[in-house]
Amino acid sequence: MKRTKLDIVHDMLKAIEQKGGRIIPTHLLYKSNLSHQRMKLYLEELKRKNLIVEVEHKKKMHYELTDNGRKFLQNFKQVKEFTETFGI
Amino acid sequence: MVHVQISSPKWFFGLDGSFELIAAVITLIVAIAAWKIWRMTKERRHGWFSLAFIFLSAGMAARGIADLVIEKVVTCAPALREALPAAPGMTRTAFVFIAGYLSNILFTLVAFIILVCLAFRIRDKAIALLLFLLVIPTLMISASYFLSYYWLSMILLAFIAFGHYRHCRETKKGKTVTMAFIFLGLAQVQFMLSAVNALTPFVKDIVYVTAHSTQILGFLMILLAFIKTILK
Repeated sequence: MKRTKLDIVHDMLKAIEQKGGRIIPTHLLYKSNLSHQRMKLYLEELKRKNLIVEVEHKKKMHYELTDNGRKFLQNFKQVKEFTETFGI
Repeated sequence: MVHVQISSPKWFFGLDGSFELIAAVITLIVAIAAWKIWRMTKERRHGWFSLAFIFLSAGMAARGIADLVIEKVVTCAPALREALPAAPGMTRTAFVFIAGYLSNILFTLVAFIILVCLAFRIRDKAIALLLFLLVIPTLMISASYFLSYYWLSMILLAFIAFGHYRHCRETKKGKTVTMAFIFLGLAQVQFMLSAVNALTPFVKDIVYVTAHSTQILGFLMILLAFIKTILK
């Protein structure tokens, strides 16, 4: 079944969470199962919505979950249910 | 001088206003939930959905308050009449009635237009504007605000329900919400019938009461769908 935008955002954030809240871009690309081009678009959006931030860790660029991102993951099930039920 | 002609049967007088206030509370609850989701996801569609339900809530509240105020003044405390706001050329109750019902009509129609745009994933602002320009001025120039309002609401609700039905077929979710919009659309048909002068007063009363009952049932189904999303 085709993943919705909400599912993709969830998968990306979940991948970061599973890596202890911080991940390098290559791992995220592999875990989120997206093309490089699409992942770039999603990353921009996630940063804009303050769900993730770019940080430098051990001289490497990482993506880190924000509090907002963790909150999104916690409430994802209800958000998805609400969105699907009301056809938004 | 403009006077109010009350269309509700005496025994139902006041209940209609209460039903509308219940609907206002239900839609406000859904609006707040959608707003919280919008704050989290920053997805525009969640924001628009929240705004649509805020408008629905405001519309139902305006009509409910107007109905209850008029009911109080007419049946319980005629002395309160003097406390109501006034406008030249109309009685005080007529002013409350017109203000309440006009707010209801405008808020509700704008809410339905937003919901149509969401149901059909209309992203083009020009089409949304076209809908708005077709609906609102048509109402303004019509000879009967009420009949036009019920007619326009019925069409918009039919499309919202159809959009939800298509979504429902794809995702197997949202049956209750689809049914809710069908009930709300049916209520508009009944409201329209209740305004037809050819009917006897008894039949008009029955149709008016069933219209309100169908409408509140629609809103209760929205509440039910919302509660289900919380419990999952």
